[in-house]
Amino acid sequence: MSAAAGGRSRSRHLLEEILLWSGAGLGLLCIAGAVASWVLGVTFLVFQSGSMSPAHEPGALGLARSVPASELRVGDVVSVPRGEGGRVTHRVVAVERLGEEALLTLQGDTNPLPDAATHRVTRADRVVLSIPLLGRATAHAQGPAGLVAVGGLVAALAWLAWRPRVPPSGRELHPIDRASVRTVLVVGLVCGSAGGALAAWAVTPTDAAWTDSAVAVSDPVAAATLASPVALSTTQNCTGGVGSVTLRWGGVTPTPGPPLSSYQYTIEVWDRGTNQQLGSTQVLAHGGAAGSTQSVSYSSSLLGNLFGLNLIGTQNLQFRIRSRLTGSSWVGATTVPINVRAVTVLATTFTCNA
Amino acid sequence: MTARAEGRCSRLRRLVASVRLRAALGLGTLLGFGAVGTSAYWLDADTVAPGTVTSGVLHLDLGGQVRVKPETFAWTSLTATAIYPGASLAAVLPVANNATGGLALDYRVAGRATSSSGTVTDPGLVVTLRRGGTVSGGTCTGGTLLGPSGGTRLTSADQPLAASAQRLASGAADQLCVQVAMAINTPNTVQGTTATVRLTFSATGVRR
Repeated sequence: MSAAAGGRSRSRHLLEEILLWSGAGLGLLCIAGAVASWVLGVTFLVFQSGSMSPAHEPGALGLARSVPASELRVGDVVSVPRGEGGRVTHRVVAVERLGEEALLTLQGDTNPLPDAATHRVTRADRVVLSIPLLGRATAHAQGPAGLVAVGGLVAALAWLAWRPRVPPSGRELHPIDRASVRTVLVVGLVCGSAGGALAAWAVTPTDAAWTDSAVAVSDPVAAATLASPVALSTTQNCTGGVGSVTLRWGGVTPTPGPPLSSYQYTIEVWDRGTNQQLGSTQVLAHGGAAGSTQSVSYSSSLLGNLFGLNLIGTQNLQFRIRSRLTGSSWVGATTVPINVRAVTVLATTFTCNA
Repeated sequence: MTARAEGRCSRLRRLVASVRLRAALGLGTLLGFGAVGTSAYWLDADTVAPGTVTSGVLHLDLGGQVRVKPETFAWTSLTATAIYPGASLAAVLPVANNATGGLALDYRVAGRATSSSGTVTDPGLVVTLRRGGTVSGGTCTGGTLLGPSGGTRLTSADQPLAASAQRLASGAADQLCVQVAMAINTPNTVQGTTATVRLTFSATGVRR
């Protein structure tokens, strides 16, 4: 044998050994998984998203065991079916016991809020272990490339184990050897494909597990305070006489807030003796510049018409003037009062500030 | 070591190293592959092809912040010193999807108002949202109206402000115009009080 041929043979032997040992290791792992699944009732979970990170990173393969509801505790990571199909695997943050059942509130570790839906269960799959990256490997193995690779590995192993030995005398291969090689190849590929198809069929989609929330809080939104009319001195606020009275007050000077044009005044007439409002309320728009003196004159008949007043005998009246924001229920805090005595014999005589 | 023990040991080594045994174990891959594959549940999201694993963290950020958790954004541009019935103020709030892993998201908006006064239960604030809207003299114009056309009157409890979830692609940002008006029938007792408006954005990740 030449030196080159010897080297080729050595490297080929090395390759075979690597293939055999890694294949055996992988196979043992798979057999262990299958046995655990069947004998111990272990459920395998593939974490596809990061809502349970870093305890269970995306791409990890999780092992879960079914436990009765009574064994579930806050802090357990459980996998439960969702109402609309699929499953969710999150941490238990609250358990409410309902006899044999438990009402679970779940939350993803990276989610700021618990899941909206609660789960009423008698049993749940509790995650006991997760192996980083293995889920991702499983995922890849079930892709088209993975199927080809697994099929290829199986076929290669079968070939190594049951390949026809080259007869030392250079005789033809026994036909049965060739047939068995072909059989093993075909069986390997068919099994690989079937396994992959089964896996694809059994995949259950579940709800999106990622959530996030953010809050925007405004600075204070301050409501305005309405300006109020200003009382004038008793020499200015009122002019009486026979048959009519004129009332005057200082108009509003708007503070920050509604413009002057949005202001109006309400005028009420009260009986000072009974402290009751007489008739209805009149409304007057602001006139002139901010702070300018506002005035209104009422004849005795106008008082009767506008307010529904029935002037008779001697009446101690009080006119109450208030500011108001047009169209709203907002009124100024301060009321301007003007006292007027009305004496009616034939005509009405108004006496101011009396 | 005795010769017999040595012999047992080497027999065991030969057995373990046997090509056929190792190959047979390797064929166990098929068994396990089927078992694990068929019983594995794929956690998460939509109608995903098996085999896609997405690592990502969802980040919905407000006002130009980047990947803040937990996030409370002090929105200083939404403020008023003297609002009154019939008046309004408006400001644009950037809402960004800064998720890692190329995640799109759906967000919903809820809002509430908290009065500084213990006696005011209805501060009279009405919120209107316009996605992509712009501010024009204290109101929002343009864009897409998200809630009812008359807006939503805030109470002390959160209530939804947008009729449906808003999809935001990975890396995209919305300019959300928020208009806060004071209702014309706001009680007189609201005068001189202050309130803060709190908007809560809840995002759910979506795959493609």
